[in-house]
Amino acid sequence: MEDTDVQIRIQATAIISSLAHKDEDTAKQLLDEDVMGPLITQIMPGTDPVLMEASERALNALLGYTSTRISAEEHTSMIIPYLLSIITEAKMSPRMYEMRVHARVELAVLILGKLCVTEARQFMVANTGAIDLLVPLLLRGYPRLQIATLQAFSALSYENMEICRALVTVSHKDRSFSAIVLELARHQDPAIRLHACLCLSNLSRMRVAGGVSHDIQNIAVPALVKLLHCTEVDRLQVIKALGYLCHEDADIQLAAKGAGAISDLIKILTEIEGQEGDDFVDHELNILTMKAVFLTLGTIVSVGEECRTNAVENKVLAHLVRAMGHRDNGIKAAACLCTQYIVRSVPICRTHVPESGILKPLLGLVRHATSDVQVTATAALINLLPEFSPLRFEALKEGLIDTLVQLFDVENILIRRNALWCVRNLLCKINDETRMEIIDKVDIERLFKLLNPDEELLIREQAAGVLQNITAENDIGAPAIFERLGSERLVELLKRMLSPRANTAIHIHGLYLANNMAVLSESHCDPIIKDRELIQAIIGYATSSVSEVSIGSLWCITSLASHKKASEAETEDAEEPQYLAEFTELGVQLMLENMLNDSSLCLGVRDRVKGCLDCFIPSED
Amino acid sequence: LYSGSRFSGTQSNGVRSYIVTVALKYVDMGVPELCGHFTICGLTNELPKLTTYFDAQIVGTGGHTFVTNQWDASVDTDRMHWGFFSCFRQYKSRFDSEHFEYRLAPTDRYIFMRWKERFVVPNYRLNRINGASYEGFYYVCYDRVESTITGYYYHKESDHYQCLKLTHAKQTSFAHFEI
Repeated sequence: MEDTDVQIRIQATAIISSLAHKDEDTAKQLLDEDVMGPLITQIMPGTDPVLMEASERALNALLGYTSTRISAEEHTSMIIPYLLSIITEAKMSPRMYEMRVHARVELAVLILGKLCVTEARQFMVANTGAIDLLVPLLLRGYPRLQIATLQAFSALSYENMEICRALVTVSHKDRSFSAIVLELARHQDPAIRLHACLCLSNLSRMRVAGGVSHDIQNIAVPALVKLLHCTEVDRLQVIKALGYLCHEDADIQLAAKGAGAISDLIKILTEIEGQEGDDFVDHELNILTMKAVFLTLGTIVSVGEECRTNAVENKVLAHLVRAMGHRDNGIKAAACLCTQYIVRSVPICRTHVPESGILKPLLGLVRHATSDVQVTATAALINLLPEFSPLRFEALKEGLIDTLVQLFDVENILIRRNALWCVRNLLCKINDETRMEIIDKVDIERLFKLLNPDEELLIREQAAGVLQNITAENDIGAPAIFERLGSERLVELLKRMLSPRANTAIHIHGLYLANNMAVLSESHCDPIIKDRELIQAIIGYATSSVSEVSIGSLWCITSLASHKKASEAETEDAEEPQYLAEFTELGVQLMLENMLNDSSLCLGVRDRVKGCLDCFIPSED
Repeated sequence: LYSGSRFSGTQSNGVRSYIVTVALKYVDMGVPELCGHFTICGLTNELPKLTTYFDAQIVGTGGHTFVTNQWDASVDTDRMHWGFFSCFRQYKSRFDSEHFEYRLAPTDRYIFMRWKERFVVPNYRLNRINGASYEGFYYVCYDRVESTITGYYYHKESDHYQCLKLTHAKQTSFAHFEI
């Protein structure tokens, strides 16, 4: 490539291009040999056009892999100006309409897009004025150039709110960028439609689409759904694009359902399952496609009941059960994720899920799968264990508690968190026998240790929730904790949970744990109320700006104040709170009266304040 | 209104009264989502206790307005039934207007809902029950200050103005689950 003969350099460059196309390892080797530098030099303005084009092809091939794009960091600032000058020069050239010129511009745009793999590089490209140069290319009428430009915009705006915001303000010939891309989403060329939809997805995801959000729903969503059936585009890319667009957007999810996305995706699963024994099928691609389908389905049904119902009506549960037995771990994990979202539905949990046979394969994955599968399997199990789920008892019969306890010791924090979360949900409105079994096997000492300040927050939150639920709505949980920890350590535990260093979720669990303990009996109240630091912390949270914390504190005070002094004389005609002296000293009644006069309090807190104050008004016989 | 809360009271048509309990299974006002079990006692001999699963449309959220537009309920039906709630009267003359907008605010005292029973619990495949119907729906108003629920059942072929009155069963200890 250092030869002075242009023809030789062209040939050398073409060979590099072929080698780069071979595979990622070869491309990386070439990069390590610092082939980028000479190639970039060969795209400088003034270079022989054929050599320039060959160099662009080689660069495009080299940057065709994620690892090589990332490795090209040191060359980025050098290459960008040359690429922009190719685009600018071609724009100004009367020979713009020549195919070779188009080819060079297309390659320059492709390379520009491939460089945008990090936020820093996105900004680097955007700050050079690339956006204004690229927008007119969308209207060029040359499909390959339009596709390359859309790809560049996709890469430039991916997960970048600032650049997305900039794009929606850009216009060309009185047409906004969004309007131009929306029109391209209806183009006759399916590849243009696909890449236009990808661009629109970025704007939608960054919530900057504003006035065109509705258009994106009505145009991009059905366009992507139709592309599922198009053989001229990469179906896998379409499935992923649909999932990306639908992420956490209930309106778009509904639009996807309305466009038939759910039924079409499930048909793809049926099609792939039917090809399982075939010889002349790309099974690797089928595995990737199946995984993408489950992930996208999971996204579409993640928020709304209508979408979940639609999926169940299209027999998704049978596919999920089969997928949980698949040989590929990615498919198992994706199926579990989809299951997690499907069973978020109370009616579906009560009706179709018990008959689907999903519990056994799911429990099998919880117990024996690799950790990446266990993460999503335990997450799905969480939603099958609340009180309204009939599968709760089936799971208990299958030895669920022992399984969950074993997971408390695994290395993966998400699995540990999910196992605790399962126990937490299981404890709601469970019978006493199972509650006692959980208390014995989970072990209060373990929960006590899990609430150490140096334990991970994710774990502490769930451990706190488990303790709250152990003591709720039953007579055995609170005494069990009291017995196993003793009053001193119970107080220490509560102080830990109510420490300012703990977060809001733990404060709430701590307050309700104290409430659940206190309401049961005076013997549980005593250590709480006698510890000055603890009772002050509880009372202090009554005026929290977070209403759930405030309400938790007020309930706790109510429970403590609910215990009345036993009448000592027959003539005594009023009962006062057992701990009136302590509350008076702490100024509780005055605090409550002041809160009642605060008009800014929300209804829930105000109602609790009134209920709490009632405890301080002596009741007449 | 929270997951696990219970209400009890009666449903009556002026002649007979039936004991009713409602257990809210899942409430998330952020979505919003509210569903539960509705149990009525003594409605039929076949089923001395009938429990159905219901879900709620909360008016002023999620695109739900006072206009039902389904379940054979006309605007006049809506006007009549919502009109039974004194707290609705300020909206009575305009609730069906194109320009009327009602959004539920966190400080609102009253929450208006429609409750629709979907299936029998536990036998969800049971479509018909002699002497009982759950094909209609309830116009419901929850008073956040009093913690009471008032409702009126509507189905074009059922006794009109069956009235539901429920009060909150007070709890003193609390669990919390999350999905």
